[in-house]
Amino acid sequence: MRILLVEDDCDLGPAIARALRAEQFAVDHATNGIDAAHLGETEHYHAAVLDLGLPGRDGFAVLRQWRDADRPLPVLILTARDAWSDKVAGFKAGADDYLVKPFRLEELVMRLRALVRRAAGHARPRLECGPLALETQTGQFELDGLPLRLTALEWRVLSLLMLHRGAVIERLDLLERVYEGDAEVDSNSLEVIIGRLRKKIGATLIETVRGRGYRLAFDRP
Amino acid sequence: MPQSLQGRMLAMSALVTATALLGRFAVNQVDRRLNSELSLLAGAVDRDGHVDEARLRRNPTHFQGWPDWQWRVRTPSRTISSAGFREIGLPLPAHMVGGAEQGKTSTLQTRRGPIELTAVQPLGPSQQRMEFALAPSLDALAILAPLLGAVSIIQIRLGLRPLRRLQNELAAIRDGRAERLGENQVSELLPLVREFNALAAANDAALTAARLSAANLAHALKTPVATLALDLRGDPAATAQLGRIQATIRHHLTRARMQTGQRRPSTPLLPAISGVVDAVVRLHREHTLTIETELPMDLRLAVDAQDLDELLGNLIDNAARYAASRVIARAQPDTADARWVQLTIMDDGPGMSAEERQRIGRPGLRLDESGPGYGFGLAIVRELTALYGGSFSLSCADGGGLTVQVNLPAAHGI
Repeated sequence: MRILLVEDDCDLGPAIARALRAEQFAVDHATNGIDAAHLGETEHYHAAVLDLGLPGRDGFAVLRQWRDADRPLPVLILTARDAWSDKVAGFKAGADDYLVKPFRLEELVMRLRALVRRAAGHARPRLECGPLALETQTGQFELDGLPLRLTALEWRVLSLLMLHRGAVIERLDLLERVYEGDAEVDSNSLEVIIGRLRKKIGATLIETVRGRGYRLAFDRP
Repeated sequence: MPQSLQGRMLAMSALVTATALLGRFAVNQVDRRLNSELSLLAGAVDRDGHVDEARLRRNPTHFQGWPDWQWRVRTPSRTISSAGFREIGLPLPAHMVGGAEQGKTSTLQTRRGPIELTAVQPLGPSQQRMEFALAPSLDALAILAPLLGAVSIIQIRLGLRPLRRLQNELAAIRDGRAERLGENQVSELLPLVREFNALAAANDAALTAARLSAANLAHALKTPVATLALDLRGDPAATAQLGRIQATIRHHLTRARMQTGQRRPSTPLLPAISGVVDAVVRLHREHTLTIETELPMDLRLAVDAQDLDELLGNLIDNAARYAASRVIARAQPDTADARWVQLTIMDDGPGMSAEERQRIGRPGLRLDESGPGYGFGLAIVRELTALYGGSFSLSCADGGGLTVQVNLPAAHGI
């Protein structure tokens, strides 16, 4: 899952990015409002973590720009402004969640995962597909009830397929939503990852749809 | 001088009335006298312009009563005057002398040319005569004085009406029904009104600046604290210390944010509660929860909008955090006293023990001592309610769950 992190503080920003990457997220980090507005409008993210006090452009203005452009990007406001008036204003401006600094990292990660899951249309925190299950609150995959160990890239690809199980995910979409903006992507790497995943969860769960992309077989037992 | 403007103006008008009345009588008397003196002087001059000096000198009877009366007759060829005339030292102008009519001049046209006649009475006698003047006029004064007094009172009442209107406008500002004084004032009050409005604007600006600097302080402190918290994960002792720092920051910022202005605000409750309920529902989306609100559409509270958000946010968020599935927020005018609005928040959670309820309700409890969770939010609510003179009480419903009841001042009118 690919996250846009907008945080101008030069200590906190990289610390959050590191922590989110450790939780398997792909993170693009913007440090000002202008870059943030642009990235949110042009790139594909599963969610954005948005600070309000930003250089260049206020977080509220960035959020409004995304909403005016009809970007459905789920946005979590992460700010020091803890007054309820600010929270109400944040939701009115189109935020989906609001977390006040200082915060616990676990809570940020949990809220981000829930945000991404709900945006994909799932109300329940546990997603299942045949023998495979994803506990979205912890990000843990299970196969036949046993924990599944995955690398970050494997996890991102599989959770994306899981969120949209049954639907075909275009190759390009997968690439865009799995790699960070500045990563060098080898065109064969996706095939390599899919191959490794098939080895771990069985060859039949992930179907290749020729010329389009991949699909997590929804109807299989 | 009297302390009230009305008193001062009445006193002044009484003084002016009395002086004018008395003065008028005295002057009239004197004027009449001067005229008769002049006609006496004229009697000593014939048509040819001949002045009968002997007659002038011989004619003391009339002047005897007032020995200081002076006169002068000036013909083209000579000047005759009473002995003390020059000593009085009045180089008389054309017609009158001094403020009161103390001297009078008239000119007779004769064949030998114009003859100027002047009669002068010194100041002393006119004042002595005041008493004589008074005697016949006392009756007239007795009738006139109350009449003039009544007219003055009406005049002053009417004249001071703009001041009373200004007072009402100021009261409206204090009640939060108006922001500034209107500029359609009488010209004497307009500078005062402009000064006041400028002062009110400066006050608002200072309040906004203070709030902004509190918010900036929050931002400045919280981000490094958040970074530290990330770095210190896994160190419980350091994390506990950080928790204390955070609680202290929150405590002082919440206090700084609380309104201390004198103006009585008027905030509609329904939009405030809807905004907060929407925010709470989104914040607790992972928790299956219904929040019901029951309140009249047009209820307004004399509570600052930010404070009201803070109050409602803490109340409803707390209830949502502990509720099993349902929160009810109800508001209605206090049936016992219409100046208050009763706000009731109920949840179906585990409730609170009697000791816990007592601890939260204790007035001396500080926000940073109450710790996170239930207690912290409710302590903020309790402090804010106290700030507006309202009451705060906790109770447990029969089937469990906590009920918080808060009384807040209602705002009347717009």
